[in-house]
Amino acid sequence: MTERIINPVTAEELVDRAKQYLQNGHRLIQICCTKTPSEMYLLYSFEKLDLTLENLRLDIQSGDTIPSISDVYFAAFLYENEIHDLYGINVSGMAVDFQGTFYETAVKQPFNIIAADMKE
Amino acid sequence: MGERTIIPFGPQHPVLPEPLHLDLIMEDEKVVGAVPSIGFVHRGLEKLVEKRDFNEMIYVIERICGICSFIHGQSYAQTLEGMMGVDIPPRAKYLRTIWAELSRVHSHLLWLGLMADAYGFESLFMHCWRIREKVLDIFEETTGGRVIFSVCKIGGVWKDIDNDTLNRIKVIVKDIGEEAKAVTDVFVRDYSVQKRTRGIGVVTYQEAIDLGAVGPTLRGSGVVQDMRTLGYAAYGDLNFEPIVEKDGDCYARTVVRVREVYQSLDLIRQCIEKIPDGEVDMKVKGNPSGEYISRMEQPRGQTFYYAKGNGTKYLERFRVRTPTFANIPTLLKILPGADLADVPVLALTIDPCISCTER
Repeated sequence: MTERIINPVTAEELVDRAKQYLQNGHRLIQICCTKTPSEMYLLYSFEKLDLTLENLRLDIQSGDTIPSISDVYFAAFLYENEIHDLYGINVSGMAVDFQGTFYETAVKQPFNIIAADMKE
Repeated sequence: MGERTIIPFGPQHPVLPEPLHLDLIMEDEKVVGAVPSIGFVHRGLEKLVEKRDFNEMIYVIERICGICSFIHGQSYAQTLEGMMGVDIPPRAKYLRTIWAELSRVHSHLLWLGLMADAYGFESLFMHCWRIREKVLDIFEETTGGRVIFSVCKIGGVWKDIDNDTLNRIKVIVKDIGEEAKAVTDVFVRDYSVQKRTRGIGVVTYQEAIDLGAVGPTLRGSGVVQDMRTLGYAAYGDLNFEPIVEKDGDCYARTVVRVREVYQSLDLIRQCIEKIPDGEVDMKVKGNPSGEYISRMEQPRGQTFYYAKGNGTKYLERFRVRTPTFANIPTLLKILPGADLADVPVLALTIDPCISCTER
């Protein structure tokens, strides 16, 4: 990923780092979770109006609780509810907490299951 | 303070072609708060990368949305090409740009029609969609499809457009522009339209930035940001500036889309005049490995793609953040203080695509 920066972050540092990005003029453009057979992490993407992009990577495990950054970036509540419903990651202090009803899925935490094809 | 009531808006509503639900907290006729619900038709398409060959996956990705289907396929292809270090032939880049801009024209004309329908201007709605049909005819002639094209592949495009056809499209595009003028003038100048849009749902410059708005919703508040300026596909060779309006209301967002119709028609003309001869695809060997981020400009705004490969034919992760998802906080901002009668117009003003959001 040339020209794109990924910085590691811990759950304890997350909110302060988000505040720094806000003060530096970055917008939050997305949060996503990735789960593979060997790792699980969140990617927080911040962008300036000149289109430069920076990302924070937070390594996590299934069932972890992480702090919400929706007090810093209001829009984060959407991504955080999505991650909770699809991956089962608990997020504390969300600006709007849908209590697991953001997505109506037949299977709970469907993205927390890795397809058998990929395991092979 | 008046008595508070909650009025459910959607998921089935005449103004919504797709299911979106809002709990509108009302004091008399004024909205004082709104709680959104989505997820009625969430498909989990991202998860399918674990079971579908990365080459086949492009046909799934196109089905994220029936309006910007081509650009989703293009975005996926560009993400995988970036990850695999593939530089596709220049002619393929131009063809992708032509189809992408045609998609923008038909998306904006579709939205303008829906907006007219939202404030009861039925004839205006029909004229917008009548003109849009001509764009769909070009799609059908050049790709074989009117909604899903399956013309994009990793390494280029499946089909070429011969130069005679391109020159004919250039004439058709010019005609579309002239025909659209009479219709778009109504959106820009008509008194009754402006009564429903001017000063309604104002988002300031700073609010648009803070709320993470994208696309015409962002540019309608005066923020100069358009992912096409990154120069992907053929955009680096084309002459254009992001379209921006400053008032931040429904009218400004409408005018941005109207002006973008003409900008897209001009970009298609530029592409046809500059398109080089040559191959339109190349053989791509190997499997994707590593991770890659792409950002592109769809009709509704910035889309964010993230892919992670492990050297097999299956990706480990594929992520799409669609523009509508990013614009939901803006919708929640503009609803409080609005009259109930304006809610349909406000809901449409971010051009919500629930199909994209429920990828």
